[in-house]
Amino acid sequence: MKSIRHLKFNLSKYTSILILIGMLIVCSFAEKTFLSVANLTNILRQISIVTIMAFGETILIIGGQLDLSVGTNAAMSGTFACIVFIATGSLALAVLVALVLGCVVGFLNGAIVTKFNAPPFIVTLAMQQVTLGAIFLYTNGQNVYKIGDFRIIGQGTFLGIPIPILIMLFIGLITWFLLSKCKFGRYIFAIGGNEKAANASGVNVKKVKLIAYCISGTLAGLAGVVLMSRLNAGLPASGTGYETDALTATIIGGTSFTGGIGSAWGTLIGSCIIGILNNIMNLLGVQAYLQQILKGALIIIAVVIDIYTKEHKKVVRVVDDVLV
Amino acid sequence: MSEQNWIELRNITKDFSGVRALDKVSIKILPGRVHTLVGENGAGKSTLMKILNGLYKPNEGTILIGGEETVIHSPIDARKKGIAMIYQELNYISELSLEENIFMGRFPSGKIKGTVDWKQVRKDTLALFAQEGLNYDPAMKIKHLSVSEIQMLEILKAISCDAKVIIMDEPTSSITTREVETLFEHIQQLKQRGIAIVYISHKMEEVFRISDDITVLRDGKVVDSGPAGQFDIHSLIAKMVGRELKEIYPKVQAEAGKTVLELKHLSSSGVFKDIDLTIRQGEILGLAGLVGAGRTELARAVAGLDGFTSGEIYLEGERITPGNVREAMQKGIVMVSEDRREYGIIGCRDILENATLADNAVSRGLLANRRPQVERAKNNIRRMKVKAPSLDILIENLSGGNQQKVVLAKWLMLNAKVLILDEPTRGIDVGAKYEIYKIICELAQQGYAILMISSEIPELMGMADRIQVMCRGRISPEIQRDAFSQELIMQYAVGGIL
Repeated sequence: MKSIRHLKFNLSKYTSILILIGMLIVCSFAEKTFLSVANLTNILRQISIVTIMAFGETILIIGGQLDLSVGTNAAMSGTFACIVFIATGSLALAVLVALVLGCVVGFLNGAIVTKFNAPPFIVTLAMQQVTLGAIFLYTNGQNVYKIGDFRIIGQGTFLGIPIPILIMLFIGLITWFLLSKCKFGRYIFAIGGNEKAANASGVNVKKVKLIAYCISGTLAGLAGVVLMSRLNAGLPASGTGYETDALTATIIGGTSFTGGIGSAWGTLIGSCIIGILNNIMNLLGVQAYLQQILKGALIIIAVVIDIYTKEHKKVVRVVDDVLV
Repeated sequence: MSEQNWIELRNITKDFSGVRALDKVSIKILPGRVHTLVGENGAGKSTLMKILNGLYKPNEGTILIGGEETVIHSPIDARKKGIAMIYQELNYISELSLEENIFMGRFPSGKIKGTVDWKQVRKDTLALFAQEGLNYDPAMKIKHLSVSEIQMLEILKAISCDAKVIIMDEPTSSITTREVETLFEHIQQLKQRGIAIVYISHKMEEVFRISDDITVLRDGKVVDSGPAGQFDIHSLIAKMVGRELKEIYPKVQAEAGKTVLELKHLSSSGVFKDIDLTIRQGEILGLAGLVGAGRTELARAVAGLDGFTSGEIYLEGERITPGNVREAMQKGIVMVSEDRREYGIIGCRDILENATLADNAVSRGLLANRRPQVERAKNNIRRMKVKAPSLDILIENLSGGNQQKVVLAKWLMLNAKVLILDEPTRGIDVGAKYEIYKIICELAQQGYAILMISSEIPELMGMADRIQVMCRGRISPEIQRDAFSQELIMQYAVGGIL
């Protein structure tokens, strides 16, 4: 009997890391200062805010969900944290308020999506407006200045490493742990892969989705704190657009938009790719608008690769004779 | 009837990246005859049909139509040459009308190029319906028709394109027994018109009823080919699987123990009513009936997937009301769904993940894949004889039979008491079916109380200890194994007795 060997070939699993390595090589030749520790640290610090949000987005997209409100949620929670800090002087309290506020927004998203079976795209798009309006209403559209020591989170270092980078790596570790080691991760993959089958296997689909939205919201709150403290002010308008960047990082990192496939590791790589792209284009003096076009093109390429590999995987046939 | 219409495939060879899917296959399709292709999944039937339909090009070999060598470039080209294919999964656009569906892709053009001559469409559709004695409104949306009616429409569409050969890929897999009769009548009519039918089926009874010629494929080669009369069911199956199957059903009469599951007057408004049944430990209760009789709905209610309105469920004498799947699972009731792709597997995840999903959902703790769990999963997968090179293979890359074994392994992780199997061998080829039967019998011996739903009566008669039949939401009294008869079950199923 013929035995067809299973080809263990999954392009999307390795493309992002290959692209990253390729970019590092090309960029180091294109610009001498690129590979300096200062520049690389700078890149990591720049991507930290987006990446923190992207980890939450990764969990959601693997589960077949989506959160378009992370950017404005971050702005709202972050600005509010600034206000709390100015009023109380307590950094811990300010951060806690931002996390709770972010979580509440996530909870609302998740509750509406699961309770009414509403499409996440519409619900979170609406929440984007709500959060943006809420913080503008509260601050009267004014920026919050003189945030004092609040900026330590965004601008300080620990053991010589900028704190935002440490936060990003820590959140990445937690996301990896949740997705790879916890039952929660198995459920998220199962729901994104086939929600009906997950339900028929006893997974509490609504609860898991709700938790995923809460995680995403909380991480948006945390990203908001880092964002404002890097900006040295509470700027209600500063979060807009971050959801797109978070989505881009996630998709480029190999998370499938149709759900069921993805990883925290991939998202970190995806975010690095965008960070490096931005950095090298700035170093080379590429015009900002052109940069945007290139970033857009990158998303399309990533999605096409995702679809292409999925279609071609189907050709792989496993035949017999081999017992597990 | 012109002899010009025969189609011959000569020495067709097809390789997929080094793997030989077809090896010098030659068959002859004659007008006015039903030529059935049988073989296990992966034997090359669908590859061969895709070549005939122009989807694949053969690496070697020739296709002759009416004695002339031809190349079929695409499915559209195949249609032009008189070859039409009716897929197992019917292709239609549910929100469009009958006429739009029939003429999709070949609308007659109006005066301005790019517009559709709707009057012509209506006229042609009505003419087609009149010719077949059908009485549909051409403007009706196709979604209001049943699966079998849509299938008839597909056949109609093929006729309207002057098809000489109609390929039917498992046409009875999703229609009811009564509708099968209508389909067979249609096939007879097509034969009289001199149209050749290429028929693909896994159902042996059907194969012998409908075929004029049979070709057996195995591992991409023609094992045997000839008039249907020269085969019998045992020799045919032996040829398909390449070995003699001692029996089709490896039934072992298990010793029935104490009552495990008991339903009393279970009802769900509009779906099923007053269902009484009892299953003891080690016993297989067969649930027969036509599609739509309420069998799946009953099973889903017991397994906690859907609710029920009144009545009682007792598990080992204790009354339970499973409000959701998890509760049913925790009590010890699990269900293998009839629709594996929709409810059984997470296609894009690997074997291990699929096998541990249910266990994760009911066991304690936050972490997944802890060693004892993985060990148990491996044991179960091994016990089910899943054929795969490793556990991190995506389940969608396995054959239907192996997928089903993984689904069974998933449920065995729970040490349940009641196992509900809804069409457990659907879409699984003969060899793998036998293995699934063996597993089911083993599980019964091990003490599971099994409720087995099947639309194939011989399968139920071969496997069950007792059979009850559902018809329009009602259930028949039980038939004991020594009183099993196909006629009796059929009578109950069509409502002749109840």
